[in-house]
Amino acid sequence: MERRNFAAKILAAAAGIAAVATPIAANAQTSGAKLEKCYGINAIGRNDCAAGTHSCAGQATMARDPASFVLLPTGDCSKIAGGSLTPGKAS
Amino acid sequence: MLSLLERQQAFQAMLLASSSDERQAGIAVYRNNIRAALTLALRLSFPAILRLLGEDCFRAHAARFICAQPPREGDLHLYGDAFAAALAGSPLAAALPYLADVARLDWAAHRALHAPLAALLTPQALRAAQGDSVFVAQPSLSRLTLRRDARAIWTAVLEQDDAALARIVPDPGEIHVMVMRGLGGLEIFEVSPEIFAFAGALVQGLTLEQACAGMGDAEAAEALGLCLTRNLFTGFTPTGREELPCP
Amino acid sequence: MAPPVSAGIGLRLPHHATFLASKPDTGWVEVHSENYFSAPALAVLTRVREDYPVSLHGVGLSLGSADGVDAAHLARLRALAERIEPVLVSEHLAWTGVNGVHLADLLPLPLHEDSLTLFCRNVERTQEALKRRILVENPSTYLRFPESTIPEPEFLTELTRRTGCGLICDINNIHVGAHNHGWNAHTYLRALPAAAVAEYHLAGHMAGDGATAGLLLDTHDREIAEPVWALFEDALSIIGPRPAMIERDAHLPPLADLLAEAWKAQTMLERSAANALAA
Repeated sequence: MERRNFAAKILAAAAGIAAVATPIAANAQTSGAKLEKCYGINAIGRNDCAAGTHSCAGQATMARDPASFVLLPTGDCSKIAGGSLTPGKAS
Repeated sequence: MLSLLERQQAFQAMLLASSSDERQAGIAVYRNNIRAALTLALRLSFPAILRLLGEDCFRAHAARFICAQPPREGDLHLYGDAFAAALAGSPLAAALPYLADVARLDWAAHRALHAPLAALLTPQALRAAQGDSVFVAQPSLSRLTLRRDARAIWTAVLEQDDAALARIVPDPGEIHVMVMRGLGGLEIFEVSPEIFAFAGALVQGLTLEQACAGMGDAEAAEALGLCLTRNLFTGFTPTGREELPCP
Repeated sequence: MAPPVSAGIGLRLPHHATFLASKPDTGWVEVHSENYFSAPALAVLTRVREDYPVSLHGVGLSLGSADGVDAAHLARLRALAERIEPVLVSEHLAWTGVNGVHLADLLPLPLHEDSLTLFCRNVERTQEALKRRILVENPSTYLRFPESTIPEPEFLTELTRRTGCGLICDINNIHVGAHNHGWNAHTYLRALPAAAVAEYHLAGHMAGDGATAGLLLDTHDREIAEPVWALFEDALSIIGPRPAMIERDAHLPPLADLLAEAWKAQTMLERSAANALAA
């Protein structure tokens, strides 16, 4: 009984807190919408490819085990202060 | 004659081998198709990793991952949940300590964006819950513990904000983050370790009473209230069990 | 329940917005089932379904896997079919992986009595789960296995006889297969059970080069080639008019270009139907 009352008290208080809180979604304070487009939602069908649809199908053969230099990043990580890599750190 | 199973096992192993005899044109077609389709799936699900590593490096790491851990599902939306762990185990991790956490954010965002938006648990409905209620999380919800710099890097990279990237300083301090699909789209927010643990207990299927163990009434109410405000749950199931073991 | 005997187009994600906004004049659309296992895409397809018959064309069920059909995948397909109420559900004469692996490509099946038995069992299991007949498409293939003993059209014929399933006759895949394996495309068409063919597919292809030199590749990345249109004309007289679908997956042109190709197919279908009536 003790435990039931305990839960009821918490529930009532929690419901009260949630009821008066400004709905977070309405604030739209996250930058989520800006980031969404990076994920290609509704832009590319990833399961289309299975139908033998690769425009690259006739081009390069599959790479052999990649050469080690290819494993070194050349992208935006170099823009991070102190984030540039020296060759040899990644083998 | 090879049985069908033996033939398929051998053929699959050949397609996944890191190198193979590609003098047979037919095999080259299948190997190319597979590599292209699976690399595309990873590119779409890990846009921040793609930008951080650059095209060649991403492709090379994707290629290794594809051979080591090919998909287990016939739907490529589900492919890549182990990519962050693979990056964490790669030599890159030593030089780019934030990389695996950025990949976890990428995967959580991808998951959230493709998940259904389920009905929200309202404060009114909550009043019917019991101490032994088990809560049901939004299908899009991920809970992540990350390096603090990883979140800043992820955001700056995706927003192509080079100035912000240049300002980032390494910060291995832990933060707790929730990623989900909300009414307004993708939502990412940081929570306190206490709220993170409380929500985690509920997400993992502990009862409300078990999740509240060791918390004061006001503290528990505040934590639950915040979970509701953030729309983390879609409902709860009364378990109907009589008594719970005392936590 | 069947799509109208008219030309439809393959609806792809980049065309979603234009399609919904313009509601183009096309008899029906076909989509890749697995793309709509994702919630945002499913929301779009639900709206498309309000105005058009939709055909679900699967690429990931792997009916040819020796270890059987993935129960979880089949359950997701069933849920999608219950939601969309498609006019057709189809898959391929292919496998995508074994031992729980899925390689996201339509891999060639050795064609012999054991694989036929296995394939029939997987088709039956799928038809039972979906509570409907499915169609199976002839795939494009780039190699053959020495243990194969049954020609592909005979394998498909026997499959339809044993399971009651129907067929998609992919004209481009026959053209590609004829080139790659030295088949006679007309012999292939005549060997198919015409009554079981419920749909045609039409798509573009390219010639391989480098490591794939000598092969034709089913790339779906360009207009349908003239020899494929000619083979379609022949199929219409050998098999008869059926719903026909324009497939384009890579280098997607504006929606209008796909509709123009569908219109060409539509004209051929109508002429074929008129000829059949006159005969």
